[in-house]
Amino acid sequence: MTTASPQTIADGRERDRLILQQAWAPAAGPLRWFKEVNAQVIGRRYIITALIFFVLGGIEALLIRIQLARPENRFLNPDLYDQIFTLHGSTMMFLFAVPVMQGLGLYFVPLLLGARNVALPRLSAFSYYLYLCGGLFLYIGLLSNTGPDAGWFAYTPLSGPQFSSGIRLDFWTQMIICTNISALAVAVVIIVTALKQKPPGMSLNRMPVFVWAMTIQSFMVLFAMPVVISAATMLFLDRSVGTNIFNSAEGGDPLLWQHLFWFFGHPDVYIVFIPPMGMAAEIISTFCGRPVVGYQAIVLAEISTGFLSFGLWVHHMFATGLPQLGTALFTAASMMIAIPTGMQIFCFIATFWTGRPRLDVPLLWISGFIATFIIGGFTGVMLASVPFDVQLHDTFFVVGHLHYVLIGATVFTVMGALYYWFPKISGRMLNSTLGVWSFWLSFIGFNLTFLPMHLLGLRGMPRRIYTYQPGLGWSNLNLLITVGAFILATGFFLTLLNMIKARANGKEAGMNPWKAKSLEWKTASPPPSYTFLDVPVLPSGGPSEDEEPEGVVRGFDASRRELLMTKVVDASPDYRHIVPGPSIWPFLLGLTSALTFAGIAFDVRWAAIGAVLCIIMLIGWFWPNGKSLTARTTWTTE
Amino acid sequence: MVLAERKIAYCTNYMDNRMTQHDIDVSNLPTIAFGSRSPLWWAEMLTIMMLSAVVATLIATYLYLRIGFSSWPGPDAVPPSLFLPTICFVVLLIVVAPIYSASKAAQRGERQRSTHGLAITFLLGITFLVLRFSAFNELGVRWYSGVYGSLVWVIMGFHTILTIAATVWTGILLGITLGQKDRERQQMGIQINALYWGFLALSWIPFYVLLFVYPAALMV
Amino acid sequence: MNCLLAFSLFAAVLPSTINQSALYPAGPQAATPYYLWNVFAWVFGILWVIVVGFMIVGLCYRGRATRISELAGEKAVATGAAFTAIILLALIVISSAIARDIATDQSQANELKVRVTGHQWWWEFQYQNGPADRFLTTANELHIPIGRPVRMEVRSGDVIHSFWVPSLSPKIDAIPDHFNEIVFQADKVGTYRGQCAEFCGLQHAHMGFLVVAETPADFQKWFNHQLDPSQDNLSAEEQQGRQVFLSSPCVVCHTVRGTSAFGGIAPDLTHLASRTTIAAALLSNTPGNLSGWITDSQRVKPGTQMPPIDIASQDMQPLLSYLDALK
Repeated sequence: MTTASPQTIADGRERDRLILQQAWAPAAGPLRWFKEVNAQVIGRRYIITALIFFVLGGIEALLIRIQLARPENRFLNPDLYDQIFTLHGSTMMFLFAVPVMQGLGLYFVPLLLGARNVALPRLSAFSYYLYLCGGLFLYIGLLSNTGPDAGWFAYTPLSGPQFSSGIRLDFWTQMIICTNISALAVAVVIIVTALKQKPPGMSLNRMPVFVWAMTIQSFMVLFAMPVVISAATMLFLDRSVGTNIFNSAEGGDPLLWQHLFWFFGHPDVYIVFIPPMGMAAEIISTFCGRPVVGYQAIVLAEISTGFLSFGLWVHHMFATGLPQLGTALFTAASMMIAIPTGMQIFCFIATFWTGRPRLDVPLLWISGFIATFIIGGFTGVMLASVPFDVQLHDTFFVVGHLHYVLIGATVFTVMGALYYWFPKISGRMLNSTLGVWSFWLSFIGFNLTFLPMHLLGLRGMPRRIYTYQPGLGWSNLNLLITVGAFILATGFFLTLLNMIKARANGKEAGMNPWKAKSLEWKTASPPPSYTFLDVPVLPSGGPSEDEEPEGVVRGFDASRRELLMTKVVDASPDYRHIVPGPSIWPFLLGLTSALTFAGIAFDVRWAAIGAVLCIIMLIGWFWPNGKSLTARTTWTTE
Repeated sequence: MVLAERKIAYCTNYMDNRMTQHDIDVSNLPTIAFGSRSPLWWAEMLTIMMLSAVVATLIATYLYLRIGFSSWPGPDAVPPSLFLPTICFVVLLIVVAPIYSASKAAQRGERQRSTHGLAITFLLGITFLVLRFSAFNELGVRWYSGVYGSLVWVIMGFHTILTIAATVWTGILLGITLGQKDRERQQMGIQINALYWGFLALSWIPFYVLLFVYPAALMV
Repeated sequence: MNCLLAFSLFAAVLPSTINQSALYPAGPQAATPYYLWNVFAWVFGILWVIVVGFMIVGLCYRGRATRISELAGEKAVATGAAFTAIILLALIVISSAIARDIATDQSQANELKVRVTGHQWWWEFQYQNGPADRFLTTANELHIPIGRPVRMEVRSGDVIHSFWVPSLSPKIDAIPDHFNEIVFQADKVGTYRGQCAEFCGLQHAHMGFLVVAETPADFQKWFNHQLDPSQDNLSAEEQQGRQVFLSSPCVVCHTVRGTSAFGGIAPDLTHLASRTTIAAALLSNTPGNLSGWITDSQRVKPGTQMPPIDIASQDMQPLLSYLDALK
């Protein structure tokens, strides 16, 4: 170690900064939007796109509520209603819930690990374009009045060729294929980043809870999404070329669809539930001034939830006439999964008691999440009981339950995460008064909307109906629910307004406005394209997983995009992986594959042409080009 | 690792008096790694996991639907002869050898051997695909006749698409290596291509048994 | 125009004895989930108050020092988890015991057997007791005797439907080429409304039916009358109406036993006038509603399989008289 003058030090750091800025520069040129591969850019795009779809899904919900506000209402005809409720479910589940988690994951997992980018940047970019195109394709269907109209779950034989002729359901199957392949791609990126890019000193048992949550969720995606993609493909084949997988006249079975769909569908709801638990852990630890109580318990709970969730799917099919012994097993599993879930909630509450909670807006949203999610969890345990479920299945009781868990756990937590991380993403603070108003309006509106639905279900109102008869005791409750829905929408709208206003003239956030301990707060807001000037070295061993960095990683070749790869378990430095810079191929491949899947919906023969085009794009992607990749190497001969 | 590297042009955070004893110097670390050290290997293994989920779904679909029939493959269907499917199966198993050797050669930095391996794999892949297309033609059933017909075509179709992708990929790697344009990334790519071929061979085993051997055994 | 239609439907209020609620069980099969609901609501209501209470107290803290130690926090979590596990185990045991109890495997001697077939968007009922010539086919209105178990064999003619009359019975899906069964029993005389509970297309919302529970004597009288297809003593106008009916497209789909109308793919109309509702419990069975339904079914129930039927204005009144005679 030589001593050097302050001038040299300052210059050295400035030189580092300049060279890193150059190596990690954003894309340039007229097509630069299409060439970005930076994880923060792609993550932000995912979040914004998902929020736009959230607004669309919300508008669909309000249209549904207007139609249901009075009995025998004629605001929407049944055809339009069926398209709208199908789009509402499909948008919220496939175009909002999963993508917003993955977007937050792409943005923050590298930051939480002190990494400069994800290890597979082009894959994450590709997945965004495929997601966007898949979502647009679905909406093209709706806007041309040929939208899918068999529900987000598309049960056969209603969704099959005989009872849903035309192209409507093909918009749905192809959207499923596109958006779920996209989700799989991001899952791969997140797993690789989390396992291989931890900073030295952050061994696996000291990884932030949100990174654990995203990793576990990504493994779940890997096993669940392929099932729905296969099922949707088989449905598409039944519809387009006459295969008989779900055709009972030839020996197929429409019930098989339900098994396949729910084998994906149940893990899907945990896929959108586990990352919010991770976000909640991060927020709670920051605003209570201490790490969450029971870190190991939480991680183990999330892992076991991930496994268990694959064994519950039959509880969506209790009314289909399956044998009693089989359904009893699923009752047991569906109730037992409440134990690890409940344990995490208890850990959160214990953290309030053992810390010094500051009830800022993010923590307010998290407490709203806990209060509402518990109700949803309880009604879920009720529905796990077969004798109870066969009375309340397919009624508004289930609609109430599912929104309590989905909005309670997913949306409220994402709102909290947005308030928490918005300063880091944009460099500005959100207005906390508006945040408080938004929370309370949302919370009150939410409960006004969804609590009465339980009563409606008990009073005999089935779900997925476009209208109902007067005189059944449902009319006033439905009117109340519609009013509540508009209050809820206003609450969410205030947050949207808050974000727009803050982008324009919010208070400057600085590096760490919440005085948080995790790594993403140790760089500027928003982070530069190289994320960290100093890649941190964390102290190894020790009890806590958010210690201050004790050192810096030195010796990167700053003229190219190098990432430090570390060993999976103990995070010791392994090698330097070189990632490509901006590239047009992810966009080209994303567009081509989306067009292939879309074209197949119109004519199956597009598959051949589309496949050839995709292969060409893949060649372009993988063809070595010395400019952005590695150094020249020489082979040795043996 | 015997690949030489160019001299590092500019190291970050190097040689200033802010260094502490906890700092770590990574300038000596390699820029290429194989196996589970490489993110590309992980990406491929995770992809194989996804595809295995599809394989499991197809197997489950087959078994679920089969249970609904008292005679299999159904009242009118005749199971195809075992000849072509068995030849295909054998070719697929053989293909694993050259690509595996190419992968090992790439890890050792032996370009010529890895190119040979890629070439043999590519030719075997083409052979397999030709045989597979003949096998499709020889199937006694169409995808729209009955459930067995649908299952055979869907499952074979899925596997064939994956194999076309594998063969094209091998061809591209061959082109790159022949043109001597390969870098570290492409060398890592050969190992990953080998993993993929291994998966294709393994996944065909349950399909071959369920689609061909089992119905033939039932007819005996 | 739409408002007027809506208002007239609104005015077609169903009789006040109709019951479609799981909170007012009228038989043992509906009483079980109702009992479970009460247990669940109390248990979970109290638990919610406790847990959220802990959360709120935990959040309302303005001091400087921490209140409980880390170890105490971990112990609290473990206690909570153990408590949760015990409660859930108890619920699993209770639920499974109840489920086993109400399994419908054993058939009893005096069951009334009915096959129900769900169609888009109406219900076909066929009583299958005794010899085949005593099988009764009817639609959308099911009469049953109180105090006697009814075994429904539930089938579908097209897509998946779900047979559900909440006051009497939990639901069971009607799946094409699957044969499901459910047993229920009414203990109180009354009319109970049921509705399809699995999304089945455009008019899923209007696929209702009525279950009329009567004394055994009343039921037997109804059943014998329904079996009898004779149409004697028709007035001249009613006979003219029968002519109109038999020469209209109605006979392509509908069946009226005792005439040449054997359509078989739409509701059996042999005793249409004995039913309180039409169009699958959508409209009251009045001449006005009937004529509106016949001439413009698509306006009342858009998407229904029944096309609008053109009846000459001078034929309408005789037709309605005839249909009214099908008591």
